[in-house]
Amino acid sequence: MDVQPMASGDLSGEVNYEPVLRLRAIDDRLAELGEAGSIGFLPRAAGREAALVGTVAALNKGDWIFPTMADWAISIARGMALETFAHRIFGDARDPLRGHDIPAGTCAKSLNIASASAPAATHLPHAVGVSWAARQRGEQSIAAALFDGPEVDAAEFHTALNFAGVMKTPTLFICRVRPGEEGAVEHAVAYGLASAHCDGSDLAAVIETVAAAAERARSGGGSTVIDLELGGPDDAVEIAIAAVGREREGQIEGEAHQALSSALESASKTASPDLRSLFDDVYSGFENHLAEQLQEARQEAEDQ
Amino acid sequence: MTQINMVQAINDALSSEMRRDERVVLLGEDVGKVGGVFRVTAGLYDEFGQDRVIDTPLAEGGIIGTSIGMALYGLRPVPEIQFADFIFPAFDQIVSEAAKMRWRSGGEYACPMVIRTPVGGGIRGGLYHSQSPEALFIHTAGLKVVCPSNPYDAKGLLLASIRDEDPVLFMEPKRVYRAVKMDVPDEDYEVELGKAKVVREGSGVTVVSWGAMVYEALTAAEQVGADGVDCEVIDLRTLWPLDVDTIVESVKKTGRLVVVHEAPKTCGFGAEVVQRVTEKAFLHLEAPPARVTGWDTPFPFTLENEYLPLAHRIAPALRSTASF
Repeated sequence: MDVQPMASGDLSGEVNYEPVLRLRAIDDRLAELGEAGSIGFLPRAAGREAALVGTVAALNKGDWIFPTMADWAISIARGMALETFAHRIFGDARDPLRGHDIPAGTCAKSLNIASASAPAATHLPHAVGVSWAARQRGEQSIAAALFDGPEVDAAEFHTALNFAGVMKTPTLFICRVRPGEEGAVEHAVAYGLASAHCDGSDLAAVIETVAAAAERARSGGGSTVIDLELGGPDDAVEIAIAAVGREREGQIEGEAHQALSSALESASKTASPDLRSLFDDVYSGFENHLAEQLQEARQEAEDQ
Repeated sequence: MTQINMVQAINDALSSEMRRDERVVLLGEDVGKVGGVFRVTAGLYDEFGQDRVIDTPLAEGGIIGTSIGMALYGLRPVPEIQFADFIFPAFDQIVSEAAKMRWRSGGEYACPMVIRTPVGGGIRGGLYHSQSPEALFIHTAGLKVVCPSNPYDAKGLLLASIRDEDPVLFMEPKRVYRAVKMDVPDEDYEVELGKAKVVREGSGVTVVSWGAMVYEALTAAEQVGADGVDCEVIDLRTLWPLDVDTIVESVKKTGRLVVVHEAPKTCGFGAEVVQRVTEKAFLHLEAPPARVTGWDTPFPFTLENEYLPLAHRIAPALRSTASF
């Protein structure tokens, strides 16, 4: 995959707020296109920009991120080229996921971003398993699972925290909590895990909080449950604009819109995936019953 | 070559593969210090330690969910669900996550793992220690489903399953665990996935079965053989992908088909086997394909022998199919 690095810069330097604004510009434009019916549905990323950019900035490249489908922008924040992302939007023949999943189905192995699914909190135990395996192999990499306030109700949230506590895994459970939601941190103590919380719209606070939890995980201190408290959809953007200035914000928006338009324009000319791709990747090999069904599907297409 | 039972054969496969491949880890409820409720993993905790034979919290969704993470990382987890009846808290993880991982990621990620679980009745275990839920998993694209009937196949199929690149549900017929002993090679061998075996040749009726019911099918075949009904018995061994060719070849010879399974009749895997044969060998059929199965009820405690498709229920179906 072609990678265009977009991380917020290393932790020793100044906080780079520009990726927050770039994500907002991309999200705005995609929302317009979605409303116009030009592209398929994508949930709004508005409000979670600092949470995503901050998580990426606080983690090492080798660390695993397990996003939800609402976190599709994490791929862009971690470096997915807009050209690649545009093919994802259309699910076309050059889509890395071969049109198998909706545009929100975030997945990028080259960026250590796991494949997102729709059921609530099912990815949290995966993050526990990956980080357990990494620790068992003596690696420094850890895993961060992103989820949202309502998922705290799901059984798998509690199961994952329980396993993380018992298996002492280096896992970060990062919950985006909107006003009125309960949040995740109050459950940490029941499973013997550390907890932290901060303003999830404040990029600097997110980086500091996630980085501290990552350091604790890497040094054998186990998992941390983190509440990133979100306010209004524009809070993160306003903090970023205050940091970079209106003029620079306008430039970032213009550049992002141009780059996105160009990527979408180019991708929109790509053909749909071949019928064969529907039957690929069900299994590692091409099983006989699928070969038969491919033949049937081709026959149906010919007869039409 | 040693005479061993299925519990010993599975233990042998696990231990030899763990020595050969350090990526293999076992996890589940009481698989470690206790050695498993059926003692299938006995001794492995002592040999391989707590990092490779892991006693987990009692939460099946967590056992499978963490196994998926380990598989994504590159390990070869072999989680155990203590009874197939307890697999449903993990159903979402198996069908929504493990089964779909390769497809939804366009082949970027895979979930090679073997979910071991004892299935079937006949041990007076009642409705929560006796079920055979294979059809629910065969229905899910992306899973392979295996069910050995004897110690030799159990070892060879398990080794093939662990080395397979796809998630495999490995169903162990608990009624057979200690009931059958046979010669099993001490050395490494695989029984290829997706290949059925003709365990009794015949020309009159094709009988398809798997797991513990293979023995009942064979017993029934002997019984009706005395009356001149010559049965060919096929042990599927791998339920999915199904070895249609072996079944169809047999039905083209016999013209008659009876499928035997423990699970309830309606939407049971027998229905799929019958339909596949109907599609591929309709003009060869000389009688309506028949099913001898569990009833469409929960699995009973008291009337176990009336529920299970034992030889006394199979034999009449063989006779009526043969004489249709």
